[in-house]
Amino acid sequence: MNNSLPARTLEVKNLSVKIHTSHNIIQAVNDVSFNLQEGKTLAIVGESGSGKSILCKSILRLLPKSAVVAKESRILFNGYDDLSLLSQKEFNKIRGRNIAMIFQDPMSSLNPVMKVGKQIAESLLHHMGMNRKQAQKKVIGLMKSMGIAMPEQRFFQYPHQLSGGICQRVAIAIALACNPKLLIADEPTTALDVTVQAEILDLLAFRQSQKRMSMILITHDLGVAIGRADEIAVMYAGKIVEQAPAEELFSNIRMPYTRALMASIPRLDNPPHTTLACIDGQPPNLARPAKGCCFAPRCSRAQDKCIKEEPLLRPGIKKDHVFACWYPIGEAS
Amino acid sequence: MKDMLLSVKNLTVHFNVGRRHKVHAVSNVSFQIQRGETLGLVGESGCGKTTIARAIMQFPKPTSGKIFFQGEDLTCVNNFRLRQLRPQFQMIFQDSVSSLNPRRKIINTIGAPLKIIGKAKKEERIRLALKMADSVGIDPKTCYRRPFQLSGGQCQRVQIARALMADPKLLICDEPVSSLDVSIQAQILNLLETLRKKHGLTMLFISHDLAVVKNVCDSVAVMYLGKLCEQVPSEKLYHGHCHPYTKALLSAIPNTKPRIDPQYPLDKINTGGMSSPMDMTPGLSKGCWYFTRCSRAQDLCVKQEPQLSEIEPGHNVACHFPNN
Repeated sequence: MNNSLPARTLEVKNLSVKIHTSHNIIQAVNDVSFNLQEGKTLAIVGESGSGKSILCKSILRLLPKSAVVAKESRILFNGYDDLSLLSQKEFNKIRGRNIAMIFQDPMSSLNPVMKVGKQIAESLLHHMGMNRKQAQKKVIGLMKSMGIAMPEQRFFQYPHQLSGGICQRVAIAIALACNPKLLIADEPTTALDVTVQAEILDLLAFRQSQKRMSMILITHDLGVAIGRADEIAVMYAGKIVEQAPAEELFSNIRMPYTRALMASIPRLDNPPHTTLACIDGQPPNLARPAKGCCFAPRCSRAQDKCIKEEPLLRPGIKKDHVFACWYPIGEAS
Repeated sequence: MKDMLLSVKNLTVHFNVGRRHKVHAVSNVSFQIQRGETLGLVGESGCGKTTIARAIMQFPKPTSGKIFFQGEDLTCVNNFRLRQLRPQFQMIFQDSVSSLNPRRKIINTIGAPLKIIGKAKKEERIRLALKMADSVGIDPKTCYRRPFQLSGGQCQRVQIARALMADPKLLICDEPVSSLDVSIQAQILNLLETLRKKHGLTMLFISHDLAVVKNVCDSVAVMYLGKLCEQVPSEKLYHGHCHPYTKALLSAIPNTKPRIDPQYPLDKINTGGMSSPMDMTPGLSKGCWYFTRCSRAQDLCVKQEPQLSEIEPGHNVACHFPNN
């Protein structure tokens, strides 16, 4: 990676997060590093429980109290050297202003006893120093640009009066209110219909191209990621196991886990009553990490070496395509 | 004569909203399912898919229309007969976690249908429930837990086991995979397919994802605002569909190719144009209900409502200007 490339918005180095429960310690995120360039989209893909959400919440310091970020972790963001060195007060100025997040389930992430207009206006009042009238005007404009019909009336409604799609648009409006440099979208479309999903993703892509915003898109659907992202990182058991540009990953999957994820998506060209290729077994227990490759127990290509030694991320033929596998697809095993 | 297991005729369901208003959740829907066949019901949320499923189950009873199950009209039979018939048609409910009783152990949840039917004694119930749990991939240890200790995929398996306990002929699946991860979704779909073969089930499969439905079903019915707009055999779905709404739904499926594939220029869904079922009163709005979002809409569409008509055997469309 050379330095003549466009500016990096975010650089995460060796991020590890441990969660202390009453019985044991869970290694939720394990030594994750990645870069994100200005105006680009990174998709983080993985099954539930693979540590995607914890990873992103640790960037925004929104982790529960029981979670501990390892000391050697470094998060470099656009001009600030290391986010983890900032005091709480300094960090509050960045959160919501420069880095914003769309949370998983829109219905439950909005405040049920607060009018949606006020919820969107909150960050404008706090960060931009607007008065209430200015904020209201800006919010209505924002709601209109999010494709919400009749924003003047919606402004005074509560979340339970809105449909799932509109709630998600409100959640996006909250995140985009201050024109952030980096947007973290945590499963923005999981709870929604396919049609609404397409609309929401189009909307995000449009806003992104307008404002040159960088985006981290968290999803469990590899299909969504490939169609929408520039770069894709596949996470499994708290680690990134494969990372590549979307087109490269699509045409040249190296890691068996990624291929299995891809194969489990139902396709339109399948005949009726097709048996889908699914990944047998359960994701590993993160409280007791295994010695070798974490995917070995479920992998069809696993051999003795996979159980004994842990593979590290390494580049293949192309430098920007890294994967953690001893016997990747396309190489003789 | 084909062997029809379920035949729905002119099904209409209204709900009262306040004193004056009515929601026409389902209006004048007819379809049939042959024995051993799987029918997929697709549409956006709020189009009445779940209402149809619940109307077939008779909770609540439909406003009008007939539902023939093995030749017997379910809307006319008395409660005693309905109780006798109900083991033969069972349902898997939407949102698996909240449709299980949180205070009941899994084993009791799975065994409950047998208790209601009064078919087996307690020891026998437990034995059968464990056997069923095993066949849906739940290990015996998990059977003595409660729903909050289970993952979403496991809860879905419990629901499937519970529905199959009464040994039904017809299984209605209401969005069985919509809240699951892609990898778990594949596991559950495969499980349903195996059980369908094993028990010889006839299924009504509800989903909003056409790709899922295409993989599971023999025939697909597309709904919009409480009406059927197209019913098509699933092999013909991709290249042979005729209704603009079906086309729009197909275009919404995330492309598993980088960026958009230019080979299929598909209709984009018109944002924000969806009418509410509240505004749709059959007497008032004359035309096609989809015309507000339709790219092909012409004067005729506003004036006259298109009727569902057969263009090929097994392929029905309700559109004035159907084409590919």
